[in-house]
Amino acid sequence: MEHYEKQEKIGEGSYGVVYKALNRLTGQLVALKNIRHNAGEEGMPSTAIREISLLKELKHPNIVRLHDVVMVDSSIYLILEYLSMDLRQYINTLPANQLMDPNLLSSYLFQVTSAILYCHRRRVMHRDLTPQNLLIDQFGRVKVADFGLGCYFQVPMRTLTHEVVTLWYRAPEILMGCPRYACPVDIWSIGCIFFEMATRKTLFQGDSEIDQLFRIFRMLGTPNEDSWPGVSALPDYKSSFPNWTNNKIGQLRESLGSFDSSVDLLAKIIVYEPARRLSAEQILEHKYFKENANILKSQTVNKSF
Amino acid sequence: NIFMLSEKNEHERNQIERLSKLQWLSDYAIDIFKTMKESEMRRRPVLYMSTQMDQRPKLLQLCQLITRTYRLSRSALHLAIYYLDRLIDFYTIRVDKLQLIALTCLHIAAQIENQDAFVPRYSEMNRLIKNSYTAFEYKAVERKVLTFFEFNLMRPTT
Repeated sequence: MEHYEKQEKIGEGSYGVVYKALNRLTGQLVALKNIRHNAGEEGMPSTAIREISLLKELKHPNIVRLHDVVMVDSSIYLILEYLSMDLRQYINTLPANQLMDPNLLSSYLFQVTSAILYCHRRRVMHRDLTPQNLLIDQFGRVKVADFGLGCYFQVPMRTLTHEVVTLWYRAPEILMGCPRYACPVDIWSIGCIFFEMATRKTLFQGDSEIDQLFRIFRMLGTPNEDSWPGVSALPDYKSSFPNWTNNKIGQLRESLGSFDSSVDLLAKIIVYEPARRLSAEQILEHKYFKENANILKSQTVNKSF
Repeated sequence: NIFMLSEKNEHERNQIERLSKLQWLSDYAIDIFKTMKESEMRRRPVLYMSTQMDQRPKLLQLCQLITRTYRLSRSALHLAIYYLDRLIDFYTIRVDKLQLIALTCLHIAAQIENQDAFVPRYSEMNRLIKNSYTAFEYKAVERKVLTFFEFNLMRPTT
């Protein structure tokens, strides 16, 4: 531990502080995540145990790498790959009324989706995809971080908690109280992030669970048995929901710019019924990426950053 | 394909397709089985050569009791027993500390498997074995176990 030199605090996670640090032996910058071990009666927080054991399993160029776990006295340090910025900061630092470069945008989307595909194939759900949890570097790479809420699902699915995912990126089936959700919740979050990267606006910016739900309804129309079979059986479904009928997803065209294919992609991701939402694999095969063939080449190193 | 969709009628077929997709089987089932198999190959085998094998039934009974009491999932129990077997394979543990190890394994396994469900506290489990150990001991053993497995805790059980 002694050869890590703490430089500055870069964030505060759910169970500890994150520092930027320098490895004196290699000159490498790392992120140190400090977990207070003996804080309570209960030993290691379960989020920490889960995050470490998940990161140990996941080795992918677009997932933050866990270099090491160091235990000193009463605390545990996760030594993670350091990246300079998160996507939220990046979007905020863009000059006003300038949008992200479309090539960079599709490159980011491609990278995030391939990381999530990798996770889903290993039966891992992230469950907290937000722009804050996507870290970027100056070479155009984006990496998924913060697996504190991640979990690995089982077959058959079990009942899962609803206190996951930052409200704005939370999928409707969670908001409606569906006890068994799965990978499509990550896909919904990807869709919201995609929209946010393209327009700098949050797609559904609710301030409470019900407001969040109603914002989605206003965009997609209130769900019924036709648009989402089985919806009326969900715990939090009320027949007294206000009835918005129009589907406005097509009207997003102006805000998404000229590409028809990106509207088409978003319309296939932002879908009520989880089973009809595209899977990560299908997103990668979508014609949106084919139209910009050069994006595939530049997915690891993007000069236009 | 492991899912034989009936050709009988369109509606029923949609229903099955929806169900299997909902459980996220149809898309990734084969990949998931493959990675589980891989993970199984990577895990170190349990040799069952411990000199403390005679203690094992008692410990399993204890784990089963707690699993039943707190309605933990079967998979958590299986994972805990895998941890336990690995540990007694490698270490010879003082007889009076065996229950401590068993409970710690179960606690960790429950955190991995029962992610969102209720995980019993050490103090609660401790009550079931007449408060034999202190919180300090639990924490020390927990660290020991986590270090022993190097946090490679997600292993498929057989």
